[in-house]
Amino acid sequence: MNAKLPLIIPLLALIATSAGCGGAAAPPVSDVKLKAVELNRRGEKAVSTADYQKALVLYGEALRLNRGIDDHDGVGVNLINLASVHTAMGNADSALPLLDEILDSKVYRFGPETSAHALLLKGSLTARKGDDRQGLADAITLLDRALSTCGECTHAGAIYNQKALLTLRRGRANVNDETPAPRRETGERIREAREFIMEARALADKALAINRAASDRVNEADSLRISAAAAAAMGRYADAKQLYAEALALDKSLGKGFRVVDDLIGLAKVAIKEVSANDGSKTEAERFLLRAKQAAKAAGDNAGEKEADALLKEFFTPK
Amino acid sequence: MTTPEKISADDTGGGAASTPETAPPAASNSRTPNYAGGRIPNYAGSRTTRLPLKAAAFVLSALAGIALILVLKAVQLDIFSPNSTVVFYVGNARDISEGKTVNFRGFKIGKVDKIILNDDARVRVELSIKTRYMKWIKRDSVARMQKDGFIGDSIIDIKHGSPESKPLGNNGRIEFKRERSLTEMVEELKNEITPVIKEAGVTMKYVNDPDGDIRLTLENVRKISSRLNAAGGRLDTLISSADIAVANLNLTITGTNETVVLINDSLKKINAGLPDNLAAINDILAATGKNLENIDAATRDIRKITGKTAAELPEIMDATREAVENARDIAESVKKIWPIRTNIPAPAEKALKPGAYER
Repeated sequence: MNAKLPLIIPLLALIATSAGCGGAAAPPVSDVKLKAVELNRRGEKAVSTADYQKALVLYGEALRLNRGIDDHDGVGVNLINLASVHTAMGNADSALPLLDEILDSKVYRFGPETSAHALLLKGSLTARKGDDRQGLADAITLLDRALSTCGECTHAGAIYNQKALLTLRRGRANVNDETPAPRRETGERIREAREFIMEARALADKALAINRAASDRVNEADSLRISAAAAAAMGRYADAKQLYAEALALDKSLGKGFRVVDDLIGLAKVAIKEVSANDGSKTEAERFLLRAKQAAKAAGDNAGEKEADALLKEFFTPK
Repeated sequence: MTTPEKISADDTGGGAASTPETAPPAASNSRTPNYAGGRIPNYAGSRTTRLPLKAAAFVLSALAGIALILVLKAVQLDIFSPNSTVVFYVGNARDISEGKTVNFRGFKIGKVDKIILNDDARVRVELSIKTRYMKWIKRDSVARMQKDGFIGDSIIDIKHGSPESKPLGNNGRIEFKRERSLTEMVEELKNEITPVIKEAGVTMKYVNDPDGDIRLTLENVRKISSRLNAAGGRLDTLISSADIAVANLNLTITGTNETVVLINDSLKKINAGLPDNLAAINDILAATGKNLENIDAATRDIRKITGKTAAELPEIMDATREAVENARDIAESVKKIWPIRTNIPAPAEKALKPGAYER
């Protein structure tokens, strides 16, 4: 046996090498697919520069090419991207049919990632469209479907973030509901609101853990911001300030101007609440708002600038 | 017994053997006298009386021949030519000896006759010169000691004096100059060359110093040369790019000059139409000229900067393009290698990242 080893080893090496050289090579990629990939990447670049019209054209052409070669994954990705661009443009009516094509398709078979992504987007759009407690409940149902579809997919952190955000809004909706109701119902609504807010904080913390584990810094910052808002709603201002500060640091490092404005406004609101509770500095709140206004102006965030202005006017204009 | 040849010779009567004074009489034939019982004839008496005359003649003729030879030799040696004496003084009699040949333009004209150390410790040398050659020895002629070739004996050579100088008379005195010997010349050469060699040694040491300026400079030049060779291919492109840039700038400058000419024309017209405001217009013109000078200077600066940038940009772009192409080639090659190729995902489209951000 030992005497044959010197012969067997080179023979096995030769067989292994031959098998390797003749082994499975990467499947050839057609020129059409390569073109679709190129269009997809150009669309991504257009989105990064907020050139949404161009992105729609590019993704639309990529979708057409993928349909032509019956590439299900390609079709799904480009449908998602088209829906995302429409969402960013505020065209929910244009985005929803694209998402429904993914979720209800009888032609194509899409993977769980694509389906979960579509459910996430649809949940977000549903919540926007019906900005009421029922609408929020429907959206959260869609997000729960997304989570069950996704499992441990890469979108889990984003889905939890979205669910936390909608849950927080649900709690606020309960608090802000001024519909006349018996005292008992009102008490129940407030108790329910507190539960929603606590749940939102828990969901945000879960999302934070997932996003940190996945090194997804953008969604990590979103988790921190949502968690901070929930903490502020719960009256935990110190926690809220710390979470907002962490989110601000991350967003600054990522260069996300709009999110920086949100973080600063969030910090200002917490500071204002602290002032109301005689535990904060009015000057600090004003400085946050002024910084938010400057950042919003520089980033072209008109909504953020308006909100900062409104807060400055409300709290810091001598009456 | 006689041979037939002798018989034949006797018959003819010729030859020394038949001479009666030297040959004894034959005894065998009939004509020979019979000596038996007779008187012997006396032949010796006549010979001894002629011998002294003959010897004297022989000796005299020999002496005459010898004398003739001696005379001929003396004539050949020019012994009978009259000699004149030429004198010169030297400080040292080194290499000068009696009998040493004296030459004039390569011809032997005499010899050293005497060498005398006189009372004032100077050496008087007397040359014996054939008188017929004295016409060429002038008062300003100079005698020199020189080697007859590199390894030959030294001779005394008399240089021809100036044509206007008078011929030297008998016992006349000329100047003597000693040529430097080979040893002296070598010594002199050595004295001259030694410091040069030392200096050269110091210089070579400086040149060969690895940390010295020259070696470092040469190394730098070598590096620059290799880079220049490597960059040689790009140089043409750069030059053509620079030429294009300069040509464009020249066009711009030409256009500017034309504009300036037009402006000047317009100003002249204005000047002609507004005589009352000449002073003010002249001021404007002066200011305009100054501005144009500034524009011209700025244009020159721009040309320099543009030329330099135009020269550097293509090189940078070429280098970047080359690097990218190389990296792409390498990446493509690596992608085809098993097992790497199995781990490379096929190109696919990406979905936009979902987020929970909303405003």
